[in-house]
Amino acid sequence: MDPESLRGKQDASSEGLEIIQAELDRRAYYLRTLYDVSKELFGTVDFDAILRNFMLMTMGNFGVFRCFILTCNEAADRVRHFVSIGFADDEQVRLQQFSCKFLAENSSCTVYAAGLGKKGSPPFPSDISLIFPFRIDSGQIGILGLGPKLTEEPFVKHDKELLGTLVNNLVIALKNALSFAEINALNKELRIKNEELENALHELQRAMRKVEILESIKANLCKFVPATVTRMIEKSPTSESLEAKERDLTVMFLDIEGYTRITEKVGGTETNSLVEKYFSVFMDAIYTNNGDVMETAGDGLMILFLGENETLHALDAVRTAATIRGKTADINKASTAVSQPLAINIGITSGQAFLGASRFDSPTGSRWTYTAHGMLVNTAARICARASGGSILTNRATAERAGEEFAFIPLGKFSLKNISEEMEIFEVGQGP
Amino acid sequence: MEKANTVKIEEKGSVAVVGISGDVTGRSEITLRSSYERLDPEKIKGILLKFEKGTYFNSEGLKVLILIFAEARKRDQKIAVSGLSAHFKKIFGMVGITKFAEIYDDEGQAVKNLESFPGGE
Repeated sequence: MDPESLRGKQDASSEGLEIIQAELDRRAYYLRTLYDVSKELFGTVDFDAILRNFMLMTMGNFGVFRCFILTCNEAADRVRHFVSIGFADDEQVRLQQFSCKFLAENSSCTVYAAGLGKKGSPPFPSDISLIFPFRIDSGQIGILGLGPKLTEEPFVKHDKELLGTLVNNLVIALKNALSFAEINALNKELRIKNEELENALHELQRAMRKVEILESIKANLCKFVPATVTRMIEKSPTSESLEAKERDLTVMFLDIEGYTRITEKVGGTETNSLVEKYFSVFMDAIYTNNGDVMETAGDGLMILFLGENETLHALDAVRTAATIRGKTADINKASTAVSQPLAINIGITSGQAFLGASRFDSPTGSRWTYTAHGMLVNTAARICARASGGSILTNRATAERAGEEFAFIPLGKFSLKNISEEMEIFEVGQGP
Repeated sequence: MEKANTVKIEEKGSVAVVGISGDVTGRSEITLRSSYERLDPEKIKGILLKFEKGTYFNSEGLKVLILIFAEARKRDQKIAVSGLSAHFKKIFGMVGITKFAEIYDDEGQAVKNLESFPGGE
């Protein structure tokens, strides 16, 4: 080989080495850029800061003067973020309009060099050399635009490859930022809800304390108020439900025969304990059979049976009376406190009566009572007064309604005090 | 760990020698731009950016330099750069910075050439 050929080969070889070295330098620089971009992008979760950092790094990396990034909604009709460098204000407006139009027609993630959009796409602005649409998530897309290189060289294949990798990093960083913002918003919401919950709990505790106090007051008041009234007020606290209305019910009057005589004989204290002893047993029978004590007066009780069914409330009343009679006999047998057995006389009537609240207003305040009134009640009281020796007397309606379960003995018609018409009275027999 | 920038400016007639230490990144923007803004464009017609040995430039840093160089061109100031490693000399060429700034190894030669710039002494 002659020296000329040898020198030519050496020159060619040296040129090849330079090209390889330049390519290596370029790749090392791109690698370093990727590292730097990743470091910068993932060092923050601020959406705008990520866009701006990315834009600066891309511009430095490709040596361009002008660059912009825009993000918008899926339909590309609402800009969410826009950052740019190297564009005047009017140019920025024009770029945003162009980008939205371009994204509406070219949303796939492909690099477009000038003039390479879909047919009919808006033409690139003259100061933009490369467009890169990208998708952040299902509701947000974006576009990166780069101006010409300072070197005046075109963007080549490896530039576009690097840009694709950089944009992938950008998208991940933006997704992270969105997730972080979402988590932050959820945390904030959670904090607010926790505070609300804490306040509500505090209020609830205060309310609970009030309820406990009210419950305690109620428990004490209930001792003095008929169970029917308690239930009605609990069901509907307004006075409407307590208004007096005519309805079918059964009234029972009960009194101790010879109460005054017994009081005189054994004294007030002993009589009181005697009444408590007998009446406590009676209460069980009354409440078991759905009755309710409306009035008490020394030796007497007024009990109402208010079931919906006419036959049933009459039956309940007679069952109660029969039980009371049986219990009285039991106590009489076991008792040594009095010399003679105690007799409990009972009068029962069934039919229509007024039932509800009566209010008595006076300058010192109001007093409410809840009871039944009318002829049916008067009659029950009169029949009870007529009973003796522990008998149970009823009107015709009660006898007819409870006749299938109890034996009723017709006693005939009687004239009762302050009642004009004579009344038929029946006695409940000793057996069923 | 990124080295923070320190800047030392020495004026030699119409030429300012701006000594820069530390890596040049996006975080250098404020320091470099404010240093550049301190130079009186009426008096300073040549600027030598003297980087310390082993200075690292990332993409954002290059962008900061590009913006300063573009500004200098508008103000009719000439810029030169010294202290670059062989690697970054190539990178400066690759991204087109050499269109705006000449690269020198020798500071004295750089100052001499800047002084000879038509706007210089």
